Amino acid sequence: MSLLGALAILGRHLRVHRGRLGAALAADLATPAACLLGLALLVQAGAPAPRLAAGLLVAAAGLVGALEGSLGAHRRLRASAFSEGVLASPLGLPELVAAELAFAALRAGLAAGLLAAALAGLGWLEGLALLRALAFALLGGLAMGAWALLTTAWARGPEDLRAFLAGVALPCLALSGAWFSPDSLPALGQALLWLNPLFHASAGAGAIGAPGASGWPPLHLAALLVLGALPVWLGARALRRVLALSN
Amino acid sequence: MDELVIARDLRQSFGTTEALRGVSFDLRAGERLALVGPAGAGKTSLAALLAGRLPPASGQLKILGMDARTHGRALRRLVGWVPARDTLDEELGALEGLRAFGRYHGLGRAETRQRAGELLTFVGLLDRARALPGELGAEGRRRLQLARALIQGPALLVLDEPTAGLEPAAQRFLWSRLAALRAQGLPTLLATSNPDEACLLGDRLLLLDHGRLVDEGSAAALVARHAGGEVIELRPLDGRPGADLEALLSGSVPPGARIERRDGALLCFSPAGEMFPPALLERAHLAGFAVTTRRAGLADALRALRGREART
Repeated sequence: MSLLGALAILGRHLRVHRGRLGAALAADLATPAACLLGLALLVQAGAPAPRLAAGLLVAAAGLVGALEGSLGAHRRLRASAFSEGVLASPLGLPELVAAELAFAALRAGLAAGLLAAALAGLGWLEGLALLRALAFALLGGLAMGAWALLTTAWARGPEDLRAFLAGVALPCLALSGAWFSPDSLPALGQALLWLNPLFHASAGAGAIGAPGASGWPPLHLAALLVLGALPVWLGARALRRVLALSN
Repeated sequence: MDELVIARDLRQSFGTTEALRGVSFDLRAGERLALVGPAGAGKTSLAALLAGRLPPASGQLKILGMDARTHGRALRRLVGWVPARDTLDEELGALEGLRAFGRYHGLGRAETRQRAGELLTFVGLLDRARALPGELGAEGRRRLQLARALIQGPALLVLDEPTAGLEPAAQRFLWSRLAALRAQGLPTLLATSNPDEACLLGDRLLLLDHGRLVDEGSAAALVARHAGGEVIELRPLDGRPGADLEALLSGSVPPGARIERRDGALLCFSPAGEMFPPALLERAHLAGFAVTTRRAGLADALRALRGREART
């Protein structure tokens, strides 16, 4: 894979979004901003602010990653001639996929970064805890972007993307473990949580209060990496088939 | 290196469809080769192989000294490709799109900027540099596609139906650009179903049909072999059935002449180098037929080949 090639594609994505940055940020931050208001009410009522703030960061990054990896990537890779054009150059699928993931991570990072600044300003998340939450939020966004990219590769049309967002991404956000105690779930539910990248991101970010034995951050980091790498590998295979690629 | 392309027994399938069934040919330095044939002949598949977009399923394909099966990326760096279907970046303006493509090729910023400006001038789009492809119209899009194929300074240019669906004036403009590239010594490989385009832009023509190479040679040689020298087209003026004329012609045409019915008219092709006797034309005229005489062209040769294929 050519790193410079992937950066060239990423540069192209940024150029296209340059003119739409305001609208993109407003869209990415609308839901977290609304959640921030809800969070303020909860904190006023005595809820633990750092934990919920970290969970909100993870949710914001996960949502942006899922949206960009599905709707954004599908538009570029499947629904337009953009990918065909790139493949007429010396670049190939690895660069295309790397650029998509980097772009999803950038957007997720930007949304999470702005939200983190707001949370820091409110004093709800500070210092190392803030940096750790931001890092895991970014990884969670990247993992959700990877799942979304796999859906993009498999999708037969936009309705499949909608099914992913409604049936996978939103449940992952809701069941990240940040909004309830995972210990309150039955054993099967607790086992299924381990398949949710945002559970690991939330746990790593310090958003889960009573994590029991699952609270060790390196374990969640490893789980996040596996849950992110697997869909990338599967998605690249599927895209290679869909785009009928050369060497 | 005399041979830029060496293709031997190329085969390509898509599902159960055999697009190429053992095609072999060479492209020599400085040569302009045209792949000619009807839709479904295998031209686009062959062009995609030559552009390094697909590896051949079997057979040998060496382009610029490299094996196409293992050097796809390196080939795409050296081969400019104008695909039949536009693959322009719809979200970037003409100039920005060219620059982005230059970056994909690994060109530096300054070089890309300079090349993009030069190429927009070359294809006559400098005044539309900020326009999105969707705002350029069919002609502008094809011009931009050509400019994009040249951004890296290719050693070989592969074009697939570059002027299909364009107005004659737009076709002529693109042909003039390709002639200019020829003057610069750029070898080209053109896939087209347009006989005029093939004659104009091909030094040597490969006739493809159903994934097979049917014949090859200069346009003149192919016309002589498959269509003959002269064509008379006889059309009944008063709706009289052509069978009368067929009877009139039988025994009067030179040996080796071919007679073909097409769209209510009767076409007689004389053997290469031979003309029809003036008396025959006069007799047909007197019998109440509109008579047109012309030299046989590549379109006649392609039609004859297809007819022969259908009969066998």
